[in-house]
Amino acid sequence: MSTESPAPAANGVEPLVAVRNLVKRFPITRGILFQRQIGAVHAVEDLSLSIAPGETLGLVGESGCGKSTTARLMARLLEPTSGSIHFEGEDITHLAGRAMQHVRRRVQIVFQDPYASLNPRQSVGQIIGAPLRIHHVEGDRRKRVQELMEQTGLNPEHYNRYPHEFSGGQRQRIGIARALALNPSLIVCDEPVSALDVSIQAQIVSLLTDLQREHSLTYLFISHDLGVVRHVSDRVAVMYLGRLVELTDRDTLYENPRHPYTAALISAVPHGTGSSGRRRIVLQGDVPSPANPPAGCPFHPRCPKARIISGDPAVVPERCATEVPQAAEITPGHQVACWYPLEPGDDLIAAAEAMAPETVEQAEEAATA
Amino acid sequence: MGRYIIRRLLWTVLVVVLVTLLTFVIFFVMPKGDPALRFAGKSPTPELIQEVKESLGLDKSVPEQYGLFLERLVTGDEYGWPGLGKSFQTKQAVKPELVQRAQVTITLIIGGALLWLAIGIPVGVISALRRGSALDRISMGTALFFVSAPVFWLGLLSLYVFWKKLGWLPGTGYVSFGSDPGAWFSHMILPWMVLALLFAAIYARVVRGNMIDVMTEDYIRTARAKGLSERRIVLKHELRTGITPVITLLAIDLGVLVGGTIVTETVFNLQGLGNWLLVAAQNNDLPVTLAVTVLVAIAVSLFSLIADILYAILDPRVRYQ
Amino acid sequence: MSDVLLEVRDLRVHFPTADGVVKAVDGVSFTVERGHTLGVVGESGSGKSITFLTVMGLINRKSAIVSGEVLFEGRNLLEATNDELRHIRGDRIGMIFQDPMTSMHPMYRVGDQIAEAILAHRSVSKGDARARAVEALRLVGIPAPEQRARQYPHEFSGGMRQRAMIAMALVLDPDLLIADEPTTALDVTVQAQILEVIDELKQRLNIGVALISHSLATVADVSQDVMVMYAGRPIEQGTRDQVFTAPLHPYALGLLSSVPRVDRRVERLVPIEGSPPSLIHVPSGCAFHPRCPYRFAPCDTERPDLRDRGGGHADACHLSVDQKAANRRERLDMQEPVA
Repeated sequence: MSTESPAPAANGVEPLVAVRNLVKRFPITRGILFQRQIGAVHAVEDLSLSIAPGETLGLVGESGCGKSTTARLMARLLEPTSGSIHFEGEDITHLAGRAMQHVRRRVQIVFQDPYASLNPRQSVGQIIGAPLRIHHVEGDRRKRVQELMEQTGLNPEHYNRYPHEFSGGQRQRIGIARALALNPSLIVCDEPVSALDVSIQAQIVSLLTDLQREHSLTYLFISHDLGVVRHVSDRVAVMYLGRLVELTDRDTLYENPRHPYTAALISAVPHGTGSSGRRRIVLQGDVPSPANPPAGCPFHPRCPKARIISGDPAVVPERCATEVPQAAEITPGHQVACWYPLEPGDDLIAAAEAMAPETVEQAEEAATA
Repeated sequence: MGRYIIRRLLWTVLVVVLVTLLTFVIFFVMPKGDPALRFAGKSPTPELIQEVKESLGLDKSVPEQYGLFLERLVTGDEYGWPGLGKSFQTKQAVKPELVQRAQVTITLIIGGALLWLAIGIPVGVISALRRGSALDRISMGTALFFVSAPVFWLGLLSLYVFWKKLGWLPGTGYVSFGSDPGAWFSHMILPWMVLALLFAAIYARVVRGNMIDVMTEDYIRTARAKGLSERRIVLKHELRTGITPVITLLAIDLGVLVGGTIVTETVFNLQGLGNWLLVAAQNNDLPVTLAVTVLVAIAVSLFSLIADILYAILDPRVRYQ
Repeated sequence: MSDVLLEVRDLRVHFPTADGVVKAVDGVSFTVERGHTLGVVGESGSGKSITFLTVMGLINRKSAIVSGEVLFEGRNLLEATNDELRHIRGDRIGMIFQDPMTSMHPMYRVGDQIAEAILAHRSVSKGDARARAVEALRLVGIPAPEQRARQYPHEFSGGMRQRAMIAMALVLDPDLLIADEPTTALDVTVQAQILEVIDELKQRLNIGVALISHSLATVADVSQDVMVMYAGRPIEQGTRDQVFTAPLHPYALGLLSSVPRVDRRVERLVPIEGSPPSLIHVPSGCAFHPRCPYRFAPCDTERPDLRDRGGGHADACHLSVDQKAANRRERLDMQEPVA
């Protein structure tokens, strides 16, 4: 046990995994002959969150928001620049060797692309059995692998087949079976259904939720698909440019988002109800580069709420442009990193529309300057 | 862009210096025994060995020897610039003969390269455009033949046919362009052809492969969706990306061929660098071997520098890396 | 009034291969009207993209057997020569694609690539073409279009590239825009921007749009008419409201009840069993029958025709309309939020 106590999870129980002030920067180097560091990609900045045992924490955000880096940090495939990671009460931030081997058994990853993450020259039995072999698990491996295949909805008789003989959905089942082999407690699901056909996505999502119940698994579920995240998660964290912007239980997040970015993100998703007349908040501009995040609140160049506060589409409050808001609880269990969280009656749509093209340009320049 | 070129240029200088160091180590430090004995050649006398020692500074420390070697190379010696010393066997300065032979070799490879590009690129492009057709299969079959055919066999066969049997060509050897342009051309045409056929075959296959990859790119579909003519799609959109990688290939090949046309030069009795290298190696004439090795290394570095700069001009994505 | 721009009748596109004939498109009929968006939904292999590549004449005619009619402004494009098609492509019909990162030539400036489309169809000077390219970039909401026109595609973000692609497709005021998965490769907030640009330009320029997507939700938000495809055939067609509020075909119903939603939480998703079929060995009868929970006697032997069930809402299924309504109630009731 480390001296520093990990952050408590939402419901007060000791978290399975907790990260505190996590930072990951990738250096950018440049030089004529010898490379020197001239900057850094701020992949993850000052991230603190925890996941309770048996919980599913959804992590959403757009490209460059740091959600995949967070996944890799939590699985310790990457070493953080600073901050700490506690897993099952133990500080694993800089763990190595035999101690890390133990953690590796308890944390597994399911990847996005079932085509790229399976070795085409290995049979399904070899792929699923690999973790057992690597970690020297005794016993009848073939039987264990076939058991895993059955649990994940694969035909155990296909033990000797190769990945190319399976469809995309089945390949993702193979990836899941492999992740389950060592009875992990935490499974990091990194966009597990994004590469699959629509009708297959629901199969995999249902499989993951069934397995969670049967094996009391804890999930970190990363996706850009807000619908899927709403379906599988207990709580949802939203990231933007490496920072946590909002974290709360899923229904509150989707029905009563308090961060302007969360509101815009949810509103941008097509509902698929066929209802006409629904208007969405269309954010102007692109996500700025994480190599060059804007000063102050990372969202301020695109933020409609900041324009409501200032009353001028071309101006944001000084605080938004200079000080980084920290994630803070505004109601119990609801963290928001915003100087001016949304209040009922805020008309973000009108504010977003008021940001005329000229201001968009300014926003982009501010973001890339 | 300017930054990119400066960076590549500085790298090239560094690489050339490292190459000279490596060459020095291979020739002077690594082999067992007295370097003076080895540089003196096949029939060393005590006087000759003493002369070699003095001339190469072999009584000094190894770093000093390298310093002397590099200094002569950069600033020249009594035989002019670059300082390559003399052959202790033939008592001839290396540099004048190197220049003379380099002319022959460069004539051979430049002429050959022009020819193989002129054959290889169109054949590759047409094969890609008519993929699976009889034309494609014949071209690629022929290419396979020339890739596998030994150069000496091809060379001797062509000499037999065009010189001995048909009498169309005047035979082997080199005639300088200045003395008789016609004879120069008629003496060079067969070596060019023989050298070019091998490389044309390689280039045709590479270009065909590149073109086939490019043809399935999304931006080619976009070009078609814009309503461009097929001719424009091929000439402007596919060729640009399909042929650009050939520049890198060409740079490497030209660099290596500076000292590597040994067989062609021997078959056609051309007194070029490859031929010289062969003779020098047979006679244990280390100063000559050393000079040609350094020249080839510099040639490879320079050609890849030129290729990288050309590539950056043609592909805007490279400039920003 | 209805102003039909594109009418496709019984289009079939078959590719003979060594393993058998791939029936990529096997009997597709639809119309696209001016000022309307037709949303085409289907999974990979449903034939949605091949259908529109065939309309554009972008499939290799030598490797495919094509039959049916593609009537555009009164002409059958399937009978047009390559040269005639070339004059329609980019001029009368514009097309944009899924991945804006790879859809532009990496070695030419964005403005020049747009100007090239103009020069291919109009005899104007290069300077005029460039000026029009800049105007087109401005039209799609790209800031500082003069500078942007001189940049290369890799200097654009994904959203900006897709805007530039739209500018390229619309620069000659075509009548029809075909958008093949235009937002799939983009971030959520950028997707919304692109859909809005397409929708706004559709109204402003009064063009017809065919929007191809694997996402029901994307199609639902911006289309007036919808066609759902499965294994090379349309299995349901109708207005947006018809298809989304009262889906008839079990596949359409299955898609609607298997996609998680952002606007409300469902307790349990009802996945569609199995995988999309191979297009070489399409199941007998109704191609969906092996995956259909409601299959009965004729489904595995008789192929159901696409039939109008009233008000232009058509589907291809043997079940009676009443049965389908019952299925819908059962399925969509399960979708109601759990308190």
